Amino acid sequence: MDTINNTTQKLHINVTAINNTATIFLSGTFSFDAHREFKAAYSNLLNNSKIGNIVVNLAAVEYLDSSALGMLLVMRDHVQAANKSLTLSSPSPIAVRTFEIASFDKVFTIN
Amino acid sequence: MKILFGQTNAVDLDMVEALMLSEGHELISVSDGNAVMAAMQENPDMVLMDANLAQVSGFECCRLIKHDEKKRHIPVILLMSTQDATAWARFSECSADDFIEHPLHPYVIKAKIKLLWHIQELYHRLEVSHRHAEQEIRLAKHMFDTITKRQPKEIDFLHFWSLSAGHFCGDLFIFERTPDDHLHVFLGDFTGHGLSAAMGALPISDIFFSMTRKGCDIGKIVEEMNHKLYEILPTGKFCSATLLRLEADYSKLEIWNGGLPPLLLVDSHGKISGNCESFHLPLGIVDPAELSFQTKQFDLSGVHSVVLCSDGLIEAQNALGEYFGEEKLAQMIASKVKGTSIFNRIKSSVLSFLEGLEPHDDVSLVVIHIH
Repeated sequence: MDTINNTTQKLHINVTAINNTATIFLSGTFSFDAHREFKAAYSNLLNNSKIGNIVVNLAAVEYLDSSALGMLLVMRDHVQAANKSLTLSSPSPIAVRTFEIASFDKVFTIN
Repeated sequence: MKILFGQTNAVDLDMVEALMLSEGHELISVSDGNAVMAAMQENPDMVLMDANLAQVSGFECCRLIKHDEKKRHIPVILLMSTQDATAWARFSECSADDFIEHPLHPYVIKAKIKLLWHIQELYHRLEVSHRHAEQEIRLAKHMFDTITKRQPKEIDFLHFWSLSAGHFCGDLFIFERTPDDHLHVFLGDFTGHGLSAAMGALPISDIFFSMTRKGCDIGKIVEEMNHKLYEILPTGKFCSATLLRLEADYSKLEIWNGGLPPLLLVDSHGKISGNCESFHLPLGIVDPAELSFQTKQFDLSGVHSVVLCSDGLIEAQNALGEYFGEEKLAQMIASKVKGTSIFNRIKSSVLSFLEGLEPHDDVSLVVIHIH
C-alpha cells in the first residue's frame, strides 16, 4: 500500500506544556503509519492530572488521510473519558479542506 | 535439524560430524558440488559447504539454490578464505546467508547455525502470518464481489472506474432501482482496506438493496446505514459516503454527501454548473440522534453529466509528490476533446498522472450521463 513517496515522509510529533495546557505539534504526513507514535504522544497526557486541555496543532501537517481522522476520533473518546478538553488548532490548508469535507467541525472544536 | 555438508577434507568432516552428533542434528555429507545439488532433493534445513568444492563450486551451488523459488529460503553458509577479494565478490553475488573462515572451529559453526536458524524461524513466522493475511484478503474480496454481484446489470449511462491501493478496492459502489424506477447510487469509502472495509460493506449493501427495493427515501436509508455502522464499527472506523437518487425522468437529483469530495454537475459545454459539497459527517461516527439526514435537491435541466469520486482520486500522488487535486479534475472535465467522454478523460488523466504508481488510497470515479 505504501508508495515510494511515503518512505521519505513521516509524522513528527512534538509535545509542549504550558500551565494546564499541553500542545501536540504534528508535522509531515499524518496517516496510519504514525498511529503508535501518535497514540503514545497523547496517552501520557491523559493520566497527567495537571493537564486539563489538550491541543493538537496541525499547522505543519502536509497530508492527512481518513485513518488520521479516525485516530483523532479515537483520541476524542479518550480525552473525554479523562475529563479533559480537546482542541484542534491552526489546521494547514489541506487539513482545513479535509475537516471541511468530513464536517469535523460538528464533532471537534477547531480554531 | 538436517544439515547438508559439502566438504573438501576429511579432517573437517570428522570435526563437523562429531559436532552435529553432539548437537543432535542429522548430517548429510557430500564431497563435490554435483553431489550437493543432488542432495538438495533430500530437503536439508541448512547447507554448510566449502566455497571451493570440486566440479561445481560452493559459490555456484549457492547461486543455483538461491535462484530456485522452492529452495531459496534454505540458509547457506560458505566456508571460505576471507583474505581473498574475489572470494568476497563471489560471496555477495551468490546471495549466501553467511560465511565461516578457514580453519573451522566448532564454536563458530555452532554459533552461526544457531543464528541462521533463529532467522529462519522468524522467516517462517512471517510466512505464516503473510498466508493468514492473504486468506483474510481473499475472504474480504469474496465478500466484496458477492455484494456487487447482487446489483442489476450494468446501466448504460452509469460509468464506474476504480483503482485499488492494495489487493482490491475497498471503495463500495452499488446501485439499484426503486419500484418506481428511480435510480439510487451509493459510493462509499471505508477507513482502512481489506477485511476492515468489507466488514462494513456487508451491512451497508444489505440496507441499500432492501430499502431501495422497498422504495424508501435516501434520507431514511442513510439514517439506517449510519445507525448500523455506529453500532458495529469501533471508534475511528467510518465510511465517507454519497447516496443519490436520480428521478426516473432524469429531472431531479437528490443527494446526501457525508465526507466525500464535492459531487459536480456539468453542462453540455463541460462547465461545472453546480456542486454538492459534503455537508454531513461520514457514516458511523456519531449517534443517529446527532447526524443530519437532510438531503439536497438539484434541478437537472441543462445538466449533462454528474461526476462523483472518492478522495483517493483527488489525493492521488505522482512520483514528484504532487496531488491530482480538485483543480485538475475540473480542468479534465472542461477540456473537451472531440470524441472523448468526461469519464474517459478523467480516467486516463489520473492514470497518466500516476505513471504506473500504485495510489496510496483507493481511487473511485462515477460518472452519470444524464442526456
